[in-house]
Amino acid sequence: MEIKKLVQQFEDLMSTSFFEEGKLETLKRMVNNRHKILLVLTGMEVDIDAVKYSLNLSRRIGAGIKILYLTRDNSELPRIEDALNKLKTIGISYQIKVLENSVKEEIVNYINKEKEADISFVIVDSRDLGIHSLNGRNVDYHDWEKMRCPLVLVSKTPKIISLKRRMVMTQNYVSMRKKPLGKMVIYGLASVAMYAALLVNQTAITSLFTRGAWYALFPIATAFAFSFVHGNFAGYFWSVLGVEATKKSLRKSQEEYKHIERRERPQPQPRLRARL
Amino acid sequence: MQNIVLDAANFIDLNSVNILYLFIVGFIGGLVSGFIGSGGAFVLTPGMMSLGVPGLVAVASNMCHKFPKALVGAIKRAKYGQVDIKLGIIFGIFAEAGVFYGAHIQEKIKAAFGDAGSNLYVSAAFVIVLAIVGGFVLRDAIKTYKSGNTDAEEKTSRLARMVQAINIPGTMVYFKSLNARVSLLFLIPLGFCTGMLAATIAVGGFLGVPSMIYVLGAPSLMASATELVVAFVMGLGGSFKYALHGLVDIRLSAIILAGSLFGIQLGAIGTTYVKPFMIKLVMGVIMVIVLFSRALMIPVYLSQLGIIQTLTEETIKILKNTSFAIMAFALLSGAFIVLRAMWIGKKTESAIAEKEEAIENV
Repeated sequence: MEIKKLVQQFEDLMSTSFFEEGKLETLKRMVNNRHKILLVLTGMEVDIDAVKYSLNLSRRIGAGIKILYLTRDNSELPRIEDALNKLKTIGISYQIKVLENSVKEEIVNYINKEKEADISFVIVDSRDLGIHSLNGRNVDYHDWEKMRCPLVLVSKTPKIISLKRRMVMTQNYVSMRKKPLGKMVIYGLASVAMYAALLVNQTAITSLFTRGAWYALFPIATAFAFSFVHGNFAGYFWSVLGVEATKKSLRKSQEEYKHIERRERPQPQPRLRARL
Repeated sequence: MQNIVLDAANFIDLNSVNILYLFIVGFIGGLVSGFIGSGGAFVLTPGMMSLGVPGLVAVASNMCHKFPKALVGAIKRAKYGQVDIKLGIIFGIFAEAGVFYGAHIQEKIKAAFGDAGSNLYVSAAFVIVLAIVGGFVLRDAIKTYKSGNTDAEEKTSRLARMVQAINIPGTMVYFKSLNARVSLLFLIPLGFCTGMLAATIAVGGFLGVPSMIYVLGAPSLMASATELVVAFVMGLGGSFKYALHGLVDIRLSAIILAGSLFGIQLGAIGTTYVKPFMIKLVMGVIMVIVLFSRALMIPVYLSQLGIIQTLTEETIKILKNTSFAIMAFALLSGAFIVLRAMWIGKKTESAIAEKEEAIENV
């Protein structure tokens, strides 16, 4: 893919994906984060998918992006350098390398060499990884497993559907979460049974529950039991209908109220570990 | 008490219309409670009485549905990080004392002035408290709305800053919702009055939530969520007290719970879609409308006590029905604002999600 066009698209995507946040600070904080995603570009048409995925992931986990551009053509270098320089102005660092070995080896070498840089993910969109040819079964994952961070392969090739699906799940984790239909049914049935039992035996129950003194514990315990069973049913009912709290609020509960802790404690950085 | 127990033993018959009615009122009441931390009870108690449930049984059964409902709501809102459990429990314990004292005063008034006197006291408490607190809350919500910066973080009121600045050694406790240390001595009167109001008009939150916001300096989202913990503590103690006398009709409590547990979770979810001033708006609107409903009843009680000219049967009936209708209207308006705000919030969120998807799938 034409490098200029790619960089242009990169910038466009970046401005749209941070548009809703509307804050330059978010962007600045992100690019300066010690944790980085390594985006490997190889000048292929599919690079743009890797770009999109990296931007989304970086926004979600709040990591910066580092670009490793691998090219086979020496003469291309000045043009690539020129185009990528534009990204440097917004704080995204890059490195251009002429391919000497396979893409796989270059990535492994890079990760091993750049110990300083805290790379959390490698994202690549290339066919030159020795994974495609073997139908994902007898692939030699050995080298990849030795690498200290997970690799996400972005591809449209149907052969690696399983990898692709794993990737999609990280992308749309919230929207793809399974609806708790089974739990709703179980609690729903239990709730109906409890109400039926109460109404069928109402005479006996009311006379027992209204004797006063220590019998007072009966209505209290019953109220707790109903709140547990029926409360769970009602909760799952709204989840199944898709009525759930905003994602924003769930994030807020962890972030916004953090500052009210009395003592400052060092917060462990979240780390994602996964294996292909 | 013996007579009441006998009365209570003759609990009303439940038919499908009654059940449906209680379910729906429970749902709407729950929705509002989930959102502003309390409410609903003021329609439920008269609502049950209109079905022929004796007054004390209605109060007891309402209370026995209130604490499990508040528990479910508090757990839900704790997941969104809105609950200050420590503040809720301490406030709740002081409120519990207020409930017992409030009930005691009620009994005294009833013994001295009869039913009409007791009703007049309740209505007067409604009108005075709601006029002062409700008016203040509504004015504040409207001021925020008019100022245009509804997104801005809520400012701690001057009074709250003063309260937080006072240091009384040995009584200072840190609360995460206030992000400050406050003397327990301030919590005692606030909790106590909340409890007294709960014992009098059944909705302590009308005092509890505003006092947490304006006197202690809690954000409105946290104050309304913490009120659910207060309601749980108050409701549990109160229910036990009534159950000791055998006044709880568990069937009524369970049926109202059936609706209100759906409502309270929806209301709790709703708080995550709205700006904080909406909590104040809903609360202020409900309080001011209910105020008119109760004010209408004051002439009825005054005439029953012979203080003013006796009203005709017809007039009393009209006033009673209008009062109940206004009360139901208050609750429905609250529910409407909550649902509308949720709908708009949900739409905005899915628009953003679509945009994100578009970015992913370009």
